[in-house]
Amino acid sequence: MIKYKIGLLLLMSCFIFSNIKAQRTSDLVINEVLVNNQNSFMDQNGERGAWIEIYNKSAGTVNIAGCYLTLDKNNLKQYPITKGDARTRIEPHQRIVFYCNSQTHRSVFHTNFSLNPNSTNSIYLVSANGKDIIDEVVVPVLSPDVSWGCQFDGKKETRTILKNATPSAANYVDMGSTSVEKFKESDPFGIGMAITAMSVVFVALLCLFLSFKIIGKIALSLTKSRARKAGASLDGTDVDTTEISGEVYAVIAMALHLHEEDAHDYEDTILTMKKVEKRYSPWSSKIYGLRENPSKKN
Amino acid sequence: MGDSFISFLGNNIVDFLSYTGFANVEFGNIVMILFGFLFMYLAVAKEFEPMLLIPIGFGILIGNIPFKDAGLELGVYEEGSVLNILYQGVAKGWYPPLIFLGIGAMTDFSSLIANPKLMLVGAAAQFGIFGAYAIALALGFEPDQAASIGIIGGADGPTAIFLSSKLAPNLMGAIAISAYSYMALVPVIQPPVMRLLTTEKERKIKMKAPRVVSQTEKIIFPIVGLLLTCFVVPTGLPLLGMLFLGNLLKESGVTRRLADTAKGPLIDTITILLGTMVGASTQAAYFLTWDSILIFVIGAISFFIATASGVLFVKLFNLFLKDGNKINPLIGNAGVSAVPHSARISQKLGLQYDPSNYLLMHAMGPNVAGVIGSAVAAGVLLGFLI
Repeated sequence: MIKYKIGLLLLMSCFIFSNIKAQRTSDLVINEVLVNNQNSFMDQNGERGAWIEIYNKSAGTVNIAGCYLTLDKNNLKQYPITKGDARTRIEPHQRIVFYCNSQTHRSVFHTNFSLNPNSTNSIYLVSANGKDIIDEVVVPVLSPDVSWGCQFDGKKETRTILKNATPSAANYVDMGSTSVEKFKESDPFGIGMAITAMSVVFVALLCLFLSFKIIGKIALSLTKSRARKAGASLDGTDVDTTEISGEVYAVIAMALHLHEEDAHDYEDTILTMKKVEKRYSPWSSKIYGLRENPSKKN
Repeated sequence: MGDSFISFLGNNIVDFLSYTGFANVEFGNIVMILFGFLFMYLAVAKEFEPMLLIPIGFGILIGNIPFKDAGLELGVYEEGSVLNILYQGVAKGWYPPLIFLGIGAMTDFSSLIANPKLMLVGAAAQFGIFGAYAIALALGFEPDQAASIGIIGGADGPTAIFLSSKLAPNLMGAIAISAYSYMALVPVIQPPVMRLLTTEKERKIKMKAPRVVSQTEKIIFPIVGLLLTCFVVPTGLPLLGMLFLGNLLKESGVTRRLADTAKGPLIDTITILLGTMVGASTQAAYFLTWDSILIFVIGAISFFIATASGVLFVKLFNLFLKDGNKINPLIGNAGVSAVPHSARISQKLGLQYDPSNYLLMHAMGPNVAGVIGSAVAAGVLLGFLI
């Protein structure tokens, strides 16, 4: 019972921790910020303003609801991202945009603060506990319509000036050829693929071969040492398995198979001491069951 | 009143008739239904892989019953239909790992553990995949399509479905049908190649009986196997992970119920769904194409190449082995991972040339190594081309 409880506890903890991982807000990154929007993109109300793009760099969906955005390190709960809007769930490797125009009545995606185009802006993304800073960025004063962000989505170390603002879109689009195109160009006959892939297959199985050659040797020596301890003779008196013919193995295998499968040529007769009850019932009664033979009455 | 009622009834009947299969049938549907009959005939009368060909054959009938395209949410390819929901296991590739879980739970790797050099035979037979890949490229297929076609040579239906669902979903029906068909036809394809490439003397080589493998080694095998293969090829994780998990359930000795479920009810359920849905995905409009014919031709060639490369590799390997340790090249074909059919062929052929030469247990080594090898090969192709 205790073992069962421990198992259940482990299972539950695995479930809880996997769930935490799936919902990890630490995978969120302030991906791009545009402070001075003159001729760039408009929000859904047709207005141009500053915006902050948040990117989910993980392979799982993350809900940003409950987290905070702030410009003030002494007030980490400046703008709480309220719960209740399904759009706060950010799909893997996707992004959402917050408009910084102090118009919170419009939607959860409009913050209660604005960004100042004439000075540097420090922006913080704070976790749901209101204490831990998930990401922070200092945006320098930039020319109109020029944004600041990660050159490669989600990679903080690549933050730089982005000449083309790309809200809700990838900051860098690789226009190079895909792996399929590369193979088509460089390996039109498939020889490179055959050599590389077969080498990998061989390496993988060679690793297994070498490992089990070693493991096998260790196992054999362990078996022998155990046998020695048990007092068995190992000097030539072992059964030489090479002398046993294939038929013997086949017969043993068949016998084992029949035994395992519980296959019989005939069914065993069951002997029992159990009393067989025969209760009286009018349905089985001979008196009621017998039909009276027709007889001639006087 | 009377006339209008009669015309109403008449219109209704005409409308109803327009929805029947007879009104919507096309020549392609008839051809595919005949294919379905053929599959079922082969399964029932010839007993070629009945567990697979019956669901696939019947699935072909299900997929090719014509109906009016009126948004009825009936077809396999119509989003939201019941068949489409069942088809997701094939399209998204989650049936194959579950099949692998069952395969792992029913596979005994002891012959491989006892004689680990047979793993290399399993690796050599994967050459069929890359031979077919080169041929497919030469015939004008794109590299990702060619890889999906090539994997037919791995002789592993679930692996073929898994890879094609990721790389070439539009060719998956033809690839799956081709892979399963040739797996069923292994007894026809392999023996001539094996006879052609071996001498009378080689066919009579008797191999040493494999040593006894301890329980500890059997438990270590899936754990080490997973770590080694998946560290080399992480893209093979869905298949290899489930394969080795299934095997650990079997060998650990403490999860018998789980192993029994994995190799019994679970694999049976998934086999029924997988087979039927693969069959149903062969709607004439998608299946009866020139590409499908080419896939069948390349698939057959890949089986020949795989068998030949397995046999030839053993012959080459024997050059480096001492007398008494030599491997019978008749087990080279078993590197083609159609478990256990190709191993049975080694046994059958071995007995033909020497009635006291039982090769089955030796052939099971490369046979199960072939399962690992084809999953690794699929992982490599996926890693390169996705």
